Amino acid sequence: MTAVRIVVALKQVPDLVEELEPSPEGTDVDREYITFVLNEFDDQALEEALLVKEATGAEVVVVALEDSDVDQTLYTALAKGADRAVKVTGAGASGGWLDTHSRAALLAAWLEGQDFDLLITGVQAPDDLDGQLPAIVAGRLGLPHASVVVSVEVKDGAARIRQEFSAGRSAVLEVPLPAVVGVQAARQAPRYAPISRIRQTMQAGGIEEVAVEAPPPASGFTIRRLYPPEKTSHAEMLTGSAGDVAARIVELLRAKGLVRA
Amino acid sequence: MTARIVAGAAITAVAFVLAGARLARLGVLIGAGAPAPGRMRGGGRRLGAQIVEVIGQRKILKRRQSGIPHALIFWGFLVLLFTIVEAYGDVFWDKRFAIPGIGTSAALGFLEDLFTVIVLAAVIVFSAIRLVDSPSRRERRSRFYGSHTRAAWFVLAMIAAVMVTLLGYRAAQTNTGDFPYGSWAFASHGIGHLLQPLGRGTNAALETTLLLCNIAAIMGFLVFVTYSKHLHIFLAPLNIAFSRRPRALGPLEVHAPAGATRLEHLSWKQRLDLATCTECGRCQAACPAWNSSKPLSPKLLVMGLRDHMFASAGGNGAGAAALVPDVIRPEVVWSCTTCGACVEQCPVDIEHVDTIVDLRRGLVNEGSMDSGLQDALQNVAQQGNSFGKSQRMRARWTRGLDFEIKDARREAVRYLWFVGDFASFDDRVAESSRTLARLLHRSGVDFGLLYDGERNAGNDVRRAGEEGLFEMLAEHNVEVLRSATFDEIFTTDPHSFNALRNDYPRYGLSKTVRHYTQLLADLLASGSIPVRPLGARVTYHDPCYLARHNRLTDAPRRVLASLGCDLVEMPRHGTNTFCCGAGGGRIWMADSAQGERPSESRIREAAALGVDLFVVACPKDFVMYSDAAKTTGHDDHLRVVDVVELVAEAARVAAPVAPAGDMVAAGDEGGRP
Ligand code: SF4
Ligand code: SF4
Repeated sequence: MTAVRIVVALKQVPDLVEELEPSPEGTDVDREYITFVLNEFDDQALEEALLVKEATGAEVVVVALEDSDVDQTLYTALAKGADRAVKVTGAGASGGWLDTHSRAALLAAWLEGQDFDLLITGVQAPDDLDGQLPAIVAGRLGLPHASVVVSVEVKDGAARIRQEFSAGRSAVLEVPLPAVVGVQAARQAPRYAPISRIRQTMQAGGIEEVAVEAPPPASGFTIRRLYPPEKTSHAEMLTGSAGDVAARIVELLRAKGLVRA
Repeated sequence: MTARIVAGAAITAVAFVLAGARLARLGVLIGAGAPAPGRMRGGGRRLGAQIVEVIGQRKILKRRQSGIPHALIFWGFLVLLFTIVEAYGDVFWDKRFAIPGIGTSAALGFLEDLFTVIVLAAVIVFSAIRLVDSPSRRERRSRFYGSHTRAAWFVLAMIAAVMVTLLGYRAAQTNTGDFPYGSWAFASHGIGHLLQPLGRGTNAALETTLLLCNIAAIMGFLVFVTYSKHLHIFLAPLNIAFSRRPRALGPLEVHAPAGATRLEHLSWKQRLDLATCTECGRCQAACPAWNSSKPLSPKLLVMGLRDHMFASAGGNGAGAAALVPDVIRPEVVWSCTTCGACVEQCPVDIEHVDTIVDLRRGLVNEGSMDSGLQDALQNVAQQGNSFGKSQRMRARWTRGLDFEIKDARREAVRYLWFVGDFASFDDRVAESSRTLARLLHRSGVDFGLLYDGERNAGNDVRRAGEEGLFEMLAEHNVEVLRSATFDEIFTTDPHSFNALRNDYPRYGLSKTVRHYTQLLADLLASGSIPVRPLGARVTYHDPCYLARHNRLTDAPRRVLASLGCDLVEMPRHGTNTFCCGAGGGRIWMADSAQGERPSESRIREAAALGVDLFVVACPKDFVMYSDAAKTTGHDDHLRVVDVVELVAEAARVAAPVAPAGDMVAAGDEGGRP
């Protein structure tokens, strides 16, 4: 059997150590003064793919849309051990926020021309908390799909994956390849890419840029307003002696039916 | 006579073949090392080091108890070289041989006898030291733990044998009439007197036997030396000749870009280091890691690598083994704080820190490291600080001030303050940063910051083995520093101080770098900060990167003196300071916390002095020791305080000063590092 080819889809998200603010138009975060980093779930996906590569000699291709600071991310992936890095460019791929449907459409459009066995990506992202991306891409390509995956092993044309559910339950499934997998966590913490190696990959260049035709918007919704959460809850400060405060707490707990007697 | 010649020649020939073969092999092993640039330059300084360190035994004498007997044996051997010439003369030339010119002088006869006796006495002292500090009883606490103690005893026995046979044949010679010296050779004549009743014939036989035994002992010693840790007799002068000058502790070098993962990556100097180790354990006794039950002993690390090198057949044969983890365990490599105590103590100038950092570079390059360290490095790479906070928050600590600090990137200042991560981001330390800012502002010092242009200086990043990240930080900081206008730099953090001062020149920084304690000392001396004496009983902890790595011990003490503090020194102070345990990236790594932490041991050391204040001059120290004072329960009577807070207290006691425009000009000339 020839080496399995794994595509890992990566995505840039705002670095959350920065304070995010809505843009003047109020429909996006202000992108000008913040830095972007790799979505942490995608980092897990990359790690899992690299583990498969180490175990089986699979080829790992990372792909990302042309977002802010994406080159850094792609070079880091190369430094960690990815074999190829692809940046999807084109009118639809760059500039501003893209909803998950549009992203999935672009990715699927690129993947259609590719020969691959497994697409691995992060199970979710800060702007895709439902984890729709892997599912939509799978749907568009007509491939089997599994999410919340915590380990991937590839053998004889199939992927053996472990899904983790709540309450400590998990399932082991076998999926015929090609397939799409959304990774929750890799089997080990994402590895460290030494800066000197990242710099070497940068010097060597090697990011393949591919322009992909922008398909028609597929999501069917638009953002009307983006704003920080408005505080609706109110807090009551308890004052007085320790005894008073304790009495008041007991009273409140009784009122809510949380304690009896 | 012929029998003597044959026996003497045979013994010598065998010894020369055995020793020669071994030395040739060592030459190949060491010579196969990677290049070590710059180790031949500076001949004058290197010659000076030979005189001070080898002949003068300077570092050995740091430990008096073993240093004095060692120096005496060493000097004794120099004098006794004459007796070797005499012994060979006696065997191969003439029984009555005397070194031409000086060979019958009373002085030489006296010196030879004197040192024979002294060396014997020194052997007894060494034996006592080994018995008292025996590893079989004292385990890890013995500095000989893990050393080849049997070989050491054998060496002592050999030295004694050489001395006894020497005295013996000389004594016999006094009775056969072949002795070239008069009564000034007191020991030979004294023992000769005792041997006299045996008669001339017996004495002659005794002379031949003991003379040959003496030659056999010397030759046996020669052979044994080349096969044991006693090799240092030959290699120490070489290692000292090629060690870093002015001190073995200094700016790190890069031998192999990806660090040392296999034997072939070690430079010839690093290999020479390994072969030279005397197993004396001085480094181990001073090591904060070893003393807090960590697996690292600098001595055992050197011995482990050495044994691996010796086991590799000719050159790089066994080089296939990974230095870590096959030869040295990763926990050992990561335990080091890079405090430099080992290098400071090592009498033969072995540069442990360089090799440890090379091993770490190898590990980092493979991405294998503690998760805490990985997080910190990722934070530094991403955000420019180890706290993982937004770079824009770097100067947030200035918010509590009622004046604005200049931005040195926009307007010219006299001093550029390189604040550092802890003094900027750690709330406990940021308070002291504000105190320093207020003091400087009030005394009219013209200073500014780089604000969000400053990034982690990379001292610890580099010593944790992330050379690439260090380069990136250095390049960035130097570029920002170049865009600013200032005369001199001062830092809060001794680690940043070290990087800017010793590592950055290679990246194009050529400004004087000072530590804030130097600035304060000058301001106090010139009266720019008026103070009233505090009269507190204090002790001061020297930060490794100030005192040991940069020899800066005076300024903080001048500050304390100006404040009228009564300074009680801890036993380990100045360049012999004891590390807090945070250096070399250790502060980011998980601490297995078995045994006493270095910082706790230090607090106990201070508590025993009966002082009220534990004064620090390093932000990391403040954090480490505040914690340690709590965990050891000493925080109720021992307050950990930054020296700048003491200055502020003393200034508050004095009348508040009006800002004085150019007062500082008078005060800041002296005290350059
Ligand atoms: S630098 Fe300090 S911690 Fe590291 S081995 Fe030497 S003495 Fe021990
Ligand atoms: S490294 Fe130096 S101090 Fe340590 S045991 Fe060897 S010779 Fe002694």
